[in-house]
Amino acid sequence: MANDGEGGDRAVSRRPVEIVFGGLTGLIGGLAIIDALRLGIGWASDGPRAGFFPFIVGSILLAVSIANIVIALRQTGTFAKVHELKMVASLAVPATLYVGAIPFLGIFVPSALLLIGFVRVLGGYGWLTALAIAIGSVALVFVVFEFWFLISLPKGPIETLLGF
Amino acid sequence: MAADLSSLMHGFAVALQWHNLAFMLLGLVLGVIIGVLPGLGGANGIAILLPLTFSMEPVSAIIMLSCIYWGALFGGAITSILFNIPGEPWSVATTFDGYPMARMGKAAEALTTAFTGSFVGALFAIIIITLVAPSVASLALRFGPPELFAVMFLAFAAFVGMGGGSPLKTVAAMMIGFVLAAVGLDTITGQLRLTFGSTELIRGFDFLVVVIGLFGLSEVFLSIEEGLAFRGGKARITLADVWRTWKIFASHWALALRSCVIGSLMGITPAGATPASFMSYGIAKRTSADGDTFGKGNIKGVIAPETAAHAAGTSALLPMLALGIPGSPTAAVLLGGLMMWGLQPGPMLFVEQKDFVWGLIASMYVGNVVGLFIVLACVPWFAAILRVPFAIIAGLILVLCAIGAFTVKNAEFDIITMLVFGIVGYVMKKLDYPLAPLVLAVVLGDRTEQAFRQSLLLSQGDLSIFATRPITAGLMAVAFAVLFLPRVRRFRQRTA
Repeated sequence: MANDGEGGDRAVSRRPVEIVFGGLTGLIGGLAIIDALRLGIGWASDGPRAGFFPFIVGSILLAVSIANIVIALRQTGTFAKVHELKMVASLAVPATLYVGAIPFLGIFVPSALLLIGFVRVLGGYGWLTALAIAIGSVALVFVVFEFWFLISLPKGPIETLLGF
Repeated sequence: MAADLSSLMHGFAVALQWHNLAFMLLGLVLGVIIGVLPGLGGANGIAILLPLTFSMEPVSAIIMLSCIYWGALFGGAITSILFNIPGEPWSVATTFDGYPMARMGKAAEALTTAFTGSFVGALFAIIIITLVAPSVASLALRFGPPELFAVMFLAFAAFVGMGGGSPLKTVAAMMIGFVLAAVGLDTITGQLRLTFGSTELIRGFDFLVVVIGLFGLSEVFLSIEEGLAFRGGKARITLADVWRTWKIFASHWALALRSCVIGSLMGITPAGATPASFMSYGIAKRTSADGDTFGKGNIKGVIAPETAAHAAGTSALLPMLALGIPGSPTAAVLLGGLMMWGLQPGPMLFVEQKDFVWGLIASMYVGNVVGLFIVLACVPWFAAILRVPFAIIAGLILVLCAIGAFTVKNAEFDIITMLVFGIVGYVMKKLDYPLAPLVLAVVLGDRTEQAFRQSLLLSQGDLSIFATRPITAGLMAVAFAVLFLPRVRRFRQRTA
């Protein structure tokens, strides 16, 4: 877990992250309450209305979130060091691009590109190794899922071109 | 009792069929690999592989998946001892003395101890399950909605009261889970809830997708943050090592037995394996004459947490089987599997699906014996997996998580959901929000709500229904005690 900024590294402190996250959980609670009120939180002829339970749960969540924010105001310490967050971003950014590409290109091509990128850039290997690992893994996934288990995975224009 | 014994024998006949043995082996090997790899724990690994079992016979499927669980439990010990990386939260206490032992050149002894401890703990818990689960199930058959709600309330109260950490954060995580579970079609009125006009949200949040994001992807983020310079010893276990260690282990039988009891008791409550391992370690340290050598490579510091953690991890399946209420995230994923194979979880399983239940219980005995021999024999190969550079592993895990999330319901939107939960899970772990209550609330949310609403329907809205029925009142009383007693005690200590 986060240490208190050893070694003079720049770091993101914990308080703002706690407060923002508490705000988000509170927002979820608030949304649940609003929709529960729309559905009705009272009693119908066939028992409690659909909003009854979400209203209780949402209210507890909102209350607890406010309490968490109040506690967080006095919080000290570090969330994470900047270089650590950079490492996480080096994974999170390609992951987001990868997920964003799947609806357009299917799952196989983006997976291969992602693996090539990781092995080449993060791992520092040559092109040949990267290509071999990427194509080998994707081919294995294709055989296991599409042929052995007959589970159809998302496909894009390139797979269509190849006749799948 | 005699009827149960013959059911168990019949279960062995099912579990020992050659194709089920093959699935068992496959599950164990996959499980150890999953347990060794960062980012692929038991719950997440099983969630990813679950869709592959749709076309399998339920009993073969559960045997394979539960063996993945045993394998993952064994695998966690390998990384804890050799690399000081706890594969699962309940392996943390194992690193305290396991890693120092490995650095002193006693890696083989530490590993053998951990595996044996795991085995003994699991075996103890399986015997408990065999003896207790049928009676609990037959009692639960008489449960109505109020009793069911009380059991679930107790399960969630145990998280808050016994989970450690901030109770407010535990409650927040749990309530998020309940809100997520409510999204989509309301099962009673058929109304759409919390979808805010989105068609993608009508399906609701599948907890498998949540598990893959929260336990899989977020773990990869955490691992990469730490930079991942794996430093660790190599290990080979010879037959001589095993004999020598087993003799030492046998001399600590009382410690092992106590750890089994602690683990089994705590495993049945959803607070589960992690506090069990710490508690067992703490008690062992306090009661040992050589308590001051704990943390410096004392073998007792390996026996206590490993035995308790595995007893707890195994006994977590007891409420899952007997009541349909999982005791851990992994048990929750297995429960999700039951529903996907078309089985109704809960006490009726013991009546309607005898082959399934007893086949599973028998496979636990066989699986743990086979698992013990596999890990003892194959440690060097499994440890070698961690020498594969993390850049490759991280990419592969990401691809597997995406495929796993998609195959749950053949929905591309779920891949996005999985990514969001991966990032949320990373932030939650950094901020010390517990993840298990969230997952269990997503799993049990609909059934908790149904039990609650049906109870109120029975009583025409009168909350006293939870206090006037004897079993319900008893369970609720225990739940409130669990919820508030730890706080009261802590408050007293502070003011005294």
